[in-house]
Amino acid sequence: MAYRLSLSVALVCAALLSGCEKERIAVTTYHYDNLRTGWDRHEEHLKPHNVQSPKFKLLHSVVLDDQVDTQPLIMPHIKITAGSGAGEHEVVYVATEGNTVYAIDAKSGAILLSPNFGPPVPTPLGCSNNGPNVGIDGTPVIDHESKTMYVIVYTIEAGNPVYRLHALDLANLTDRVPPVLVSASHQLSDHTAFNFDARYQRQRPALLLANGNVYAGFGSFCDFAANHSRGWLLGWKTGTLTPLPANQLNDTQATSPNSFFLSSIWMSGYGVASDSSGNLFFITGNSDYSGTTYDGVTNIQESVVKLSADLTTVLSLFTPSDQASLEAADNDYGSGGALLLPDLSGTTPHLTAAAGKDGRMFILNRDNLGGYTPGGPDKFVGKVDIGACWCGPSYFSHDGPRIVSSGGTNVNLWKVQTTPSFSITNEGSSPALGSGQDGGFFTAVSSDGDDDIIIWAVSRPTNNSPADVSLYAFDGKPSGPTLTQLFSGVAGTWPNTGGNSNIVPVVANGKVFVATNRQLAIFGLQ
Amino acid sequence: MKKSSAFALAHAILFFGAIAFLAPAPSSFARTPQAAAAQSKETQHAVYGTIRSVEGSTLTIETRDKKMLKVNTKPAIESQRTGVLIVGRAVLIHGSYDAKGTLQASAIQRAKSSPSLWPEDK
Repeated sequence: MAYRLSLSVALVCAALLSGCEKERIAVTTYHYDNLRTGWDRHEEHLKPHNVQSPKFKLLHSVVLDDQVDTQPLIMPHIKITAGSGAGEHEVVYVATEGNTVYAIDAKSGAILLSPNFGPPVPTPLGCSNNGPNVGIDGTPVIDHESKTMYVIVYTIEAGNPVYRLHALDLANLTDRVPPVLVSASHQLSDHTAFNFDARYQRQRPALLLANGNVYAGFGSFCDFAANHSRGWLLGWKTGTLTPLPANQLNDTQATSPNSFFLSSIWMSGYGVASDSSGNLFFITGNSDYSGTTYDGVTNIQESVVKLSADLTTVLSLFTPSDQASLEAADNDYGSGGALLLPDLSGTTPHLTAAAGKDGRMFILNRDNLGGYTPGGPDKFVGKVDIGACWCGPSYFSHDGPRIVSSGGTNVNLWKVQTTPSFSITNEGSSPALGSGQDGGFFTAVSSDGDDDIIIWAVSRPTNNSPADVSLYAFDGKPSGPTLTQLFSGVAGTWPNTGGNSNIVPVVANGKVFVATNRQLAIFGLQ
Repeated sequence: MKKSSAFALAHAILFFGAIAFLAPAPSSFARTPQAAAAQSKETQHAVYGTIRSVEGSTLTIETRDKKMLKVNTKPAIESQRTGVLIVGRAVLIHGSYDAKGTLQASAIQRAKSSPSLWPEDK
């Protein structure tokens, strides 16, 4: 099976005078690539035998200024040109809810740069489904070629909350061009204009860099102001930050029975995905709880959506036939993210996996997502129950494709076969990871090619005191029905338990990075 | 003042400050300056519980100490500060008590299902 690395995961083989250093990977986007596989298959240092040994431990704990809801990004061989740490470093970039972007030396944990981009918004609309501040909520994205980070900051200007998109030079974390104010307008079904209003929109999904554009999804704060808040997907040209001519508004209806619109894009922070053709994929959340407003055209709630790169056309969608009951029970399909599987053999080579609050993970054909079938049966390629999912899947290949789900309290490993016909079978489950928060958590996978497969996960807190979150490692080659646990250790705390911790572990170049509340933990071999 | 109390106070100030600051009151909710002043003197509370019944605009929630509490959802609904209200769901309710002991909800949001994760009520 051909697995093509996305441009977003670039391998850097440093041609030093002394020879070619071991490959060092860059992690430039959420879950490693635009398919959102979560798979680093070039990990040469971390292997089951040494992760299981006492040599694997917490190496550094870096103090940050606020809660971190974003995934760290990694860039080797960056020449920092400002501050006391000027020089070449492998840099981990971390963005906080305090609107600070940190550049941290990945080896020593030293803070190299830490510019702040304005005051964050305290408890927006009174919603405490987050920390006390909301600043940078969505994972930034890095353009490896131009060494530019795109990041959206939520701040207060002239007394009002606003979003600004920045393009930062990785060498000094200053703006390459003036940051742009996020704004948009879309026509509703009654031909009136509906304008983006930053007071009511939460920029939670990770940013996407594709097609020469930066894309960002928006949802709500706690479903509050659901008469004003709607799901948007916006885009800007890289370099100039010029807004794309079109935008996506998921609910364009002028009225609804309860003046409750939403159809948000939030996905517990998972990123909008993109396939090799540049099509965009995301999942939408709930809308009017009457359950009467879905039509798949003017309102596409509770759906997996395939959208054209220019944001003009919904190319395909999948909506479960019980969408009305999902609406009525606030059982968002959009609490989870959509993984795009790398191209497969067989009659359905392009698959996606997507689960939501009710725990059903649908495997869908990206070439025709399946549409909406009132009364059912739903048109999908496969379906398994994974547990309530405020989460998103990972992927790796070992003698065929594997999906790693993380619904409920368990990691589950699924073997996918596409020839001669499709099947999906459970190969193993982890012991339960403790969580008192909503179901699910996030994972990543490391391997050295097809060998030394490790599934990494970060649990959610079980208590208020201590509100610890832990890093787990499991052997990706099951030797029985239970995945062998290789490691577990406290990786930080999450005291603002009103909002789920959506922490994605990042494995790169022999280290594991876990960003939590006011802290970046760096694990590795000592 | 204990650290946790200071945090709780700061959180409450942020919360109610944010509501006052960010949320223009709908016209149907417009208040006179006198009424607003009276409102500001009311003690604001934040209470966690699990919804046990929904009857019209009245919720009954079971608090962490197993007591049943009546909640008037109308203010929260009218100001669009509530999500979907489902029996069995854990919620965080912000508001003030009236003379009958009913919690007049200014905002209702989904809470984590495990009471062990609920911060202290205020």
